[in-house]
Amino acid sequence: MLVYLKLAWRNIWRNKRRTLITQFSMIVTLALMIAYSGLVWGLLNQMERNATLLGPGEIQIHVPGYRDDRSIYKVIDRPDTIISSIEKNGARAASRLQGFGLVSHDENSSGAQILGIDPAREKNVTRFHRHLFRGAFLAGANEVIVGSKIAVTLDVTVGDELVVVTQAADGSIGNDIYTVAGILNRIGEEIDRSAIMMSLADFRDLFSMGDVATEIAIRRVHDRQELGELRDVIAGGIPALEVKTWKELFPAISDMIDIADLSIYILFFIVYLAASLITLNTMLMAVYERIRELGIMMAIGFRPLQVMTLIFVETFYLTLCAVGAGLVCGVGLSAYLTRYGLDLTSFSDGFSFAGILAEPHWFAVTNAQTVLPAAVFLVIISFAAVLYPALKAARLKPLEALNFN
Amino acid sequence: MIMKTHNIFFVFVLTAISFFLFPLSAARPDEHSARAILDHIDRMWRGKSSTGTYEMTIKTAHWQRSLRIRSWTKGLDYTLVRIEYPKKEKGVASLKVKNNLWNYLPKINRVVKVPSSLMMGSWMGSHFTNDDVVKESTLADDYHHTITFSGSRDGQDVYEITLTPKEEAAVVWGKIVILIQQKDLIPLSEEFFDEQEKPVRKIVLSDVKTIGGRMLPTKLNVIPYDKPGEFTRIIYADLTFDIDIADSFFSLRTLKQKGD
Repeated sequence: MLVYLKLAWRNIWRNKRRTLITQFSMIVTLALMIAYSGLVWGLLNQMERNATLLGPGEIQIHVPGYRDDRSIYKVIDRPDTIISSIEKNGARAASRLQGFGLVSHDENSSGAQILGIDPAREKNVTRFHRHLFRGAFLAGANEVIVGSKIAVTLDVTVGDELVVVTQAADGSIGNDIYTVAGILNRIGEEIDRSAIMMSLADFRDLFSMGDVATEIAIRRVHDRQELGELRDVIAGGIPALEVKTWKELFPAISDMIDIADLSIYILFFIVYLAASLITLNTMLMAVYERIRELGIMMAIGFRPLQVMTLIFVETFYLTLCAVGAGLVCGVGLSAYLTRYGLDLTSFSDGFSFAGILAEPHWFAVTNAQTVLPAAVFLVIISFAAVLYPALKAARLKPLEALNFN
Repeated sequence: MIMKTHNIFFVFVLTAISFFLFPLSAARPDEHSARAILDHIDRMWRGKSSTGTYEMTIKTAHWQRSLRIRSWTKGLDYTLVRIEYPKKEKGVASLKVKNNLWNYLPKINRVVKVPSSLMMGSWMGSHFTNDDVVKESTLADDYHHTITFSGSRDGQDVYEITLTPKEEAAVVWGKIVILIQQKDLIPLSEEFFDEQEKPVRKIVLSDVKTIGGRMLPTKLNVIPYDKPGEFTRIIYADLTFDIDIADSFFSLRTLKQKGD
């Protein structure tokens, strides 16, 4: 066996330039594929985070039918009882109210979604409070947080006065003046364009509503807890209400994450197929230029299987070196993108997919899931590509090979 | 979006009434073009200017409430309405000047302009839209009108007039059908259809009385077909035509006067 290793090692370096070029192509493709899958997972993780922590939370409770008709009359009664039982189950929850109103500042006015939130509890469930472009989160009465685009429409900034007019739940005209406490970063089209957040107390006052909520948002304390299980536990306690996980609320994002592996592997296959043609060519040339030499080896007793083994060991060395260097470069590149990200702000403001923001500053992730499949796939495809030159070598007839020129 | 109740009455009564005289043209087609009659009706209904008081009752699935509203109008471009009752909304007022609509909120002492994106929103929580208030003068311009029926229906001789939008007109309705009593040319009802010709709402006019020196229906009931059991009803208490009122009355300054 040792003799194979020695022979193979010497053989691959007989034509240094060709070997290095082949390896270089493998290193580049592997490094790019590692960075690519890191970026894809980075984007998906970010969208999952935005779908949960900058929006609905991980699980939501509504009155059945609320999601089709967001009416202030489809409410959950006494939400605090439900919240405390959820908290006993080891999760965190916050009440929300949503209504529609006309907001105005000076000469500018616009229709808006008015969101009533519980600032203290909301901080445990979502990260709106850490996603402020300017100003501070809700702290006192008659303060509002404004979506990034509607802030531009209304031409308001922190400290400005905002008038909200609406039709209260009893049919009367609800109206009040608020101070803009903060402006949100971009989150998603709907919130950016139309959201005004205020405290639950202010919302109930404006809309003449009692102790009700239109929505309860929930977040696990430990990510290890299975989401579906927690949903079932919560739903068991409140059979009259609709309890859904974010995956059920945003099936498009959830499906995208489910098929992400498959779609990444398909790209691996296509890119590596191209790279492996170079390997195939290298090994085929290596076989052809050594036909006489291989003929001699066979004449002195090498069996076809042993010749094949030799070619495979050569390929093994070739790819081993390349994969080693490729892993170093790929992990390095991916780690750089994980740390510093890919800043596309000059090209785009980010885009929304299914209402969820993909931010323009794009960070990768680097872990076994993003790195190992890229390397394993490269090895498998390279070996498959060398099958043809190896068989070619194994099938040589010693006599013909000796006379080959 | 909440403040425009007052005007709405006018909108509908106007459209209804604008067809009030239409039957005359049918009777004497040589003498009157439809358009001339419409203009005549507009003048007759509205006068050069008017002021009045009405009570608006709104019933929805969740609440019912009544508002007393005072209105002033001048020509087709100016309307001001102010809520006198209930207490919570007293002084809330709407001003319409041409295609603009402002609401005044006495509680916070602010004027809010209704943006064009909210024109289809509810006016004062009623089954009228903001657009109903602002667009009141354009029915005659934006639609073709033809008499589609003339004869006895439900024991009354009536004319049925159908309005279809002109091709270039940016309108909300796909069709409007108006029923008018032949004997006194008083409108009975207006039915509104969407672009798919599906009926959306009906306005029924009744209780014809002498008011402001003219014979007019004093009660108007809006029935939305998509919300069974809901309605908006307007009943006129008093109405005076051709009052002396300056254009400058219809200003943001007047809007902000709380009334007394």
